[in-house]
Parts: sequence; structure tokens; C-alpha cells
Amino acid sequence: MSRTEDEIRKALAERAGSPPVITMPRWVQRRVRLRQAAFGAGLGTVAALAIAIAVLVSGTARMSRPDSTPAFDPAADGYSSPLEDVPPRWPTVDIHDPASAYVPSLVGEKDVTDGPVVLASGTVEGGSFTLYAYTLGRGADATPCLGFVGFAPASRATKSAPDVSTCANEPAVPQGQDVAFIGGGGAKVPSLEANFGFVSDRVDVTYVWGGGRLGMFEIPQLSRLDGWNVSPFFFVPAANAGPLEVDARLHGAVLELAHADICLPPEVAETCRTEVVQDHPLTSPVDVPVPLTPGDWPEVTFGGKFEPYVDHEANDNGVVDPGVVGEKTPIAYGTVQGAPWSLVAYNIRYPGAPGDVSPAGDLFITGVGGSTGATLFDTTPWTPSDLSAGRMHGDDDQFDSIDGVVSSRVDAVRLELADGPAQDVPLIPGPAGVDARYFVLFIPHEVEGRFVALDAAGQEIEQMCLRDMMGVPPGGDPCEV
Amino acid sequence: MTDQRRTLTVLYEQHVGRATALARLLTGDEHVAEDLAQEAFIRTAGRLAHLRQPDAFPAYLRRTVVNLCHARFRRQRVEHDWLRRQDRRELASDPPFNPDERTIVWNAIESLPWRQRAAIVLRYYEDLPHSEIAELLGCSVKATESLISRAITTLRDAMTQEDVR
Repeated sequence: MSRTEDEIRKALAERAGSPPVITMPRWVQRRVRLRQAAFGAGLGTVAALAIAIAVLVSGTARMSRPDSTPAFDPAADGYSSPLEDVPPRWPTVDIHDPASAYVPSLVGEKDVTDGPVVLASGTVEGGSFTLYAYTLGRGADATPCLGFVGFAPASRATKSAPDVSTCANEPAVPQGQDVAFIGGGGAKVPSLEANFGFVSDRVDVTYVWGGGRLGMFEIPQLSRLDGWNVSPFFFVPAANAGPLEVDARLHGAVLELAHADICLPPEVAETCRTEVVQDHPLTSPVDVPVPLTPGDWPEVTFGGKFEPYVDHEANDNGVVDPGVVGEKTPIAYGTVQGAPWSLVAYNIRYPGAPGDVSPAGDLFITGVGGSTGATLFDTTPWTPSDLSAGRMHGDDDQFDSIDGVVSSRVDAVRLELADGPAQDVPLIPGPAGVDARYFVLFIPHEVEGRFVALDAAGQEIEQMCLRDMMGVPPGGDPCEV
Repeated sequence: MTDQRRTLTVLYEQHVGRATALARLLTGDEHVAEDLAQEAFIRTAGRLAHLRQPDAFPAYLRRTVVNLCHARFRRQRVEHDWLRRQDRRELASDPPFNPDERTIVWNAIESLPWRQRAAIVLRYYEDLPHSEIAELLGCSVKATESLISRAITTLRDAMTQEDVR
């Protein structure tokens, strides 16, 4: 082991320390139970557990709770909901049977064509509320709407609380943005602020930052009325909670679609609205790939009427794309089996390389949710390289994705298949300031062969084996074609 | 205590400490690490009955920790924007930063891009082979080797600069 590797091990071990044995907090157990219930893992067992825990805590309900270990169990009333699965230190939510909810009358509202239907009702820290859904108009003009009545102090009936509403056309979801919501309920009980609204069908998951230095927590989507093309959501955050973010969930990753500040207590007005920042253009698709028959080559297109995705990362110090010199520039994009892909080129700082920078590239496939990369000068110990490529094995077992980069010495790249003809691989020029050319390829898993880099005289100057790129141990002569 | 609660308790005590340490190395933040490790436990244990190989709970938990940490890094732009607007009094309640606690190597690890950092932690803390790291990070073995190679070069450079001083 080198001195560097030894120092890395020591630094990590020192920083990690000895893993302690930690006792499971009760709130963790409660959230596990709620998740098990959501996954349908033995509802009878869960109900029995809920009753057992209810008996255990019945004498302590509503008492002040220690930090992040609430003694109060919202499942104690026998009615549980994913909305009760809140982050630590957030207001405790207790969802009741909708049959017992206060439902405002919309009789006489001439444009109401469906509803009101109760989506959630109960209490938050003792303040009662009802969230209900209704539809305005018909057919193409039908507009999903939400109404919220709350919060009423414990001593008052729910119907005494303010009633605020929002509809999916103000601003328009999904036509104009992926999420829209308002805050309400702060007038009577200023310590609580309900946030509720809609997300588009592109949104798979909604996150809200828990608060302080907590991480992001998932907010459940609620059921929708017939004919709706948006899904409602609802949460009541802690006073120090952070922004909301909506993502498309891909295979092993998420794609940020939009984000916004949330409405926080103490909000003395009856309604609140914040600005939504649309991060992923509505014109850029997030579709998952079309199924592919094993062994078939995927269908690939170049270009299209959407903006190519550029992946950015930040390190602990908030530096975006650390090590990247200049800008990440998309140089090619299109679709593979219907899923958008983009090839991004840039220089990365690499001590020892010519000019101390190395051309690099990233291939990102939105629908698969993965990326692979290649850097021209990336070997240890450092040696010049004329051909480098990365290969991504998709989680869905449909096809593999390859992006490569070649030096200016390379005139052409040839793909030699083990059971097929050799073919030239189109090379894509790098952006200004990046002294390299790139290629992108999508192949079935089973394909074997190699890439060959040729100079202007047609001489082979470097090769790369497809099997070797997938980590097949040496000995099988993977380059034999 | 029911069998189910006992199972959960044992799983928690056996694995969450290690998961917290892994999250600490991946995020560099004690409090965030604890929350992410607990969230990972909740998600993994919540699917316990549906895991294809329940005996592989630690591997599932590790994967969930890595995924959550990765998701957090992808959202850091939003989080940093928000942190800048945070009430300074709240941030001041955090323990003061003590530079003596961090080695040159650790500082350099914290500055690595996410995938390089994850590859280094999984290789030199979790002692995983390249093939398992590749699977966790969703890339090829070759790309994993490249990530580790690039990270080592950066870390060696940082150590060399310190030696020169």
C-alpha cells in the first residue's frame, strides 16, 4: 500500500471513530411501522403494534416531549396516515377518520363540478383542520382546487377557522411549472402554517429540508380526484424548516425539477405564497427508456426540441463542480430508447497533464438516472493517454452507455465487435479550449469487442476492451476478437 | 417486546452506528450523518419484509446511506442558498469549527467531488472491492478505478504541498 493510501485510511478511520451502539429512539420505531404499513407488510401486525404502543404511551400523550423522541403516538386513535410520518422536531400530526371531518359546503358555488372530498383532517399540535379537494369546470376547462380550513384552537370548532383555497391554474401546474402551493392557517394559530398545493405528473418525490442542519424529508403525495392531472400534497413544517424541492425519481438517482421557499410560522396573514424556481425546463423530458428486447441494439437519436441536461455537483464548501476549469458544455444530446441523454465536455484540473488540465466528459441519461465519465489523463502512475472511455451498466438491464474521449493525436476510432464487422465511431469535437474529441455509444450488454484509436497514418496507437471496461478479471483475454 | 420490535431493535443497535460513521465520512457533518443514517434505517427496515435477501440487511442499509448522501449532495446548491439566508443566531448554536480536528488529508477529501469522495470512502473505509463500489455508484468498474485514481492524485498533491511547507 502506498503512503498516500495509508494516510487516507488513517484519516478516514480517525474521522469515523469507533461506531457506537446506539439505542433506537421510539420515533424511529414509529416511522418504521408507518413505512411497513405503507408497503403492506402485515397490516394486522402493525395494528396490533399500534394498540400495544398506544397502551404504553396513553398516560403520557400530549406531555412535552424530549428532543426527537416524541412520546405521543398519532396512531393511537387507530387511524394512521403517511402524513403522520413527520421529521423529528416538526409539529405532531394526528390524522382522523375523514368520515368525522368538518366539510365546508360548496353548494351554490356554480362552477364546482366535483367535491368537496376530504383529503385529510385531524389536528396538528392540537389545532384542528380539514384539507379538501374539489374541481371547477368541466372537460378541458376542469381545474383542480384545494381548500383548507384551519387551524382552530383546541377550544374551538374547526369551522371557526379561516378557509383558504388555491387552484392549479394560479399559477398553472403542469403547463407553467412542476409545483405550486400556498400557505395558510396562520391567523388563528400563528405557530402553525399549513403548506398545500399541487405537483405535476413528472414529479415522483417532494422533499422539504427538515430544518436547522437536518437533511431533506419526503412529503407524501395525496390522492387526486377523477380527471385531475396533478397530485395534491400537504405538510405543516417546523419554524426552521427549509426549502421545498420536487424531483423526478430515476433509477438510483433523482433529477431536481423545481424548488421554492416554503411558508413558515409565525405567518400572521391568512395566506402566503412564495416564488417557485423551475430548475429543469418543462420542455426537457424525463421519460424512462422504452423497453428493449435483450440483445437488440437500442434506438438512438441525436438532437431534439429540448435542453440537454448538464449535471452539476457541489462539495462541502459549496463549490459547484470542483476541479472543473471553465464551464461544462453540452456537445451532443438526443434520446436512447426514448430517454434523453446528454454528453458534456470540459477541462478538469489534473496536475501533471499538459497545461495541468485534462479533457473530460460526462454522459448523463435522464431516464436511467445515471452518468458515466471519462478523463483523458487519469491513470496512476500518470501516463499520457490517447483514448479513455467510461461505461455505464444500467440498473434496468436494457443497454450499456459509453462515452469516450480521445487526444488530438487520434484521427479515428474504430469499434471492432467480436461477432460482427468493424465500424467507425463518429467523433464529436470538444468545445473551445478543450483539446480533445469525444464519442458516445449505446450497446447491448452482451456485446464484446474493443475500441481502437488510430492515428492519421491508420496505425493503432491505443485500444480499450469492452469487457475490461465492465471489470472482467484479466485472464479471459477480453480483447480477443 | 414482540418479535418484530426485538428484531428492529437488534438491527438498529448492530448497524446504525456503522451507518452513521459512513454517512459522517460521506457528508462531513455529524448531525446530518445521524439523521441520514436513521432515515436510511427507517427506509430499509420499512421494506424488511420485501427485501430479496433479508440477511443482506447491512448491504441494503449501506446502499441506502450512499443514495441518501448522494441525493443530499445533489441538492446542496438549494441548501447552501437557504443556509446563507438562515438566522445567524441559529447557526451560531452549532459547535465552533476547530481546524485542529481535521487533518490535511481529511480537508482534501472534503473538497473532492461527490463521486470521487464516495469512491474513496467506500474503498478505504468500507474496504469494498471495485466491483461493489461500481454497483453502489451506478458506474462501470473502469470508471470507478478512474474515480479512485483521480482522487488519489488530488490527495497526494495536497499531501505533497503540505510536505513542501
